[in-house]
Amino acid sequence: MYGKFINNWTIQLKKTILPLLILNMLKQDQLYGYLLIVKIKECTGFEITEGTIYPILNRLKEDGWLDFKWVEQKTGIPRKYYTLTTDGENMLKELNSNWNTIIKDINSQIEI
Amino acid sequence: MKRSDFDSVEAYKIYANYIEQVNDIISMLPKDDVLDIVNEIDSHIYESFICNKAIVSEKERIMTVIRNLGEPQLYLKPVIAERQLRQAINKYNIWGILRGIWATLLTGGQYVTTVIMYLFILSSGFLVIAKIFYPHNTGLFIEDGSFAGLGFLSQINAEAVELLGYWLIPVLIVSCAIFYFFMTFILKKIVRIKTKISLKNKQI
Repeated sequence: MYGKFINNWTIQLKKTILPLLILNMLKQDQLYGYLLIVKIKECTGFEITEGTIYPILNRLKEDGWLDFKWVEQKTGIPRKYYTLTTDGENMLKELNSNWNTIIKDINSQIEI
Repeated sequence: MKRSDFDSVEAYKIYANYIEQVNDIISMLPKDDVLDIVNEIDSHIYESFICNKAIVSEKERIMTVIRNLGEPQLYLKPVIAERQLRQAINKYNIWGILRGIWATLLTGGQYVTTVIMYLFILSSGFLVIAKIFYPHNTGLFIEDGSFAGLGFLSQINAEAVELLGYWLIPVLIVSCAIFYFFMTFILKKIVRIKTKISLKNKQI
């Protein structure tokens, strides 16, 4: 009965936190689109349509939080590596802090 | 990817069709943007194709890769809208800004059409009921020879004249029917285009 609601709610939540997840992954290392998707799937089990990551990366780049560079490969096709900009790093600190506060506040209510 | 990256001609055709589709969708963007987007998708397909070697058939493998990546017209729409908008803002191009906003709106075109349709039908239904219970406050009003309002007015000026009387009810019902068929036609068109693109993807 409530399965549909929970399912929709979970999908929306995952969509919302995807940029936060991407920024945090790029804080650890520079990554290209496909590897980012593989890591997201590995770490979270999120089943995402792979193409959906590119509008998010594009938006984060347009906002100035990400930068990219094309890197030639010995074999195969060049990869587009994304990195966090300095502004992106500073913004992410604040974003993570907000996220932790929200989680803490929600958890305090859930425990009641 | 190159033809030489594939053993199967069929698999290469599927790949080439997909890339052609991407090129068509983003053709209105500047050349640099087109190149950047196509190269990134190409790179993604290549990496995914290499990593999915467990699927022996190249045809099956490329189809899986493309299915996982999704329909380009869906995931590229926000990218196109943002890049068009950015380009227009940078060049102070008003027409480009409007096109970018329009492209953003089209992303949710199906939902916008549905909302407008139901809003119109609901408000017409409300007016039909209001005309029965508040005949003097509901209708098409003119004042000093010019349009003063259509709908329910709580306060009416002494100079205001209601034109339609109870004809408002059939007029609203008929316009609702016309509007319903028109919007349904548009919705069907949108769905048909989406289905066509989706079928094309499944075929390739």
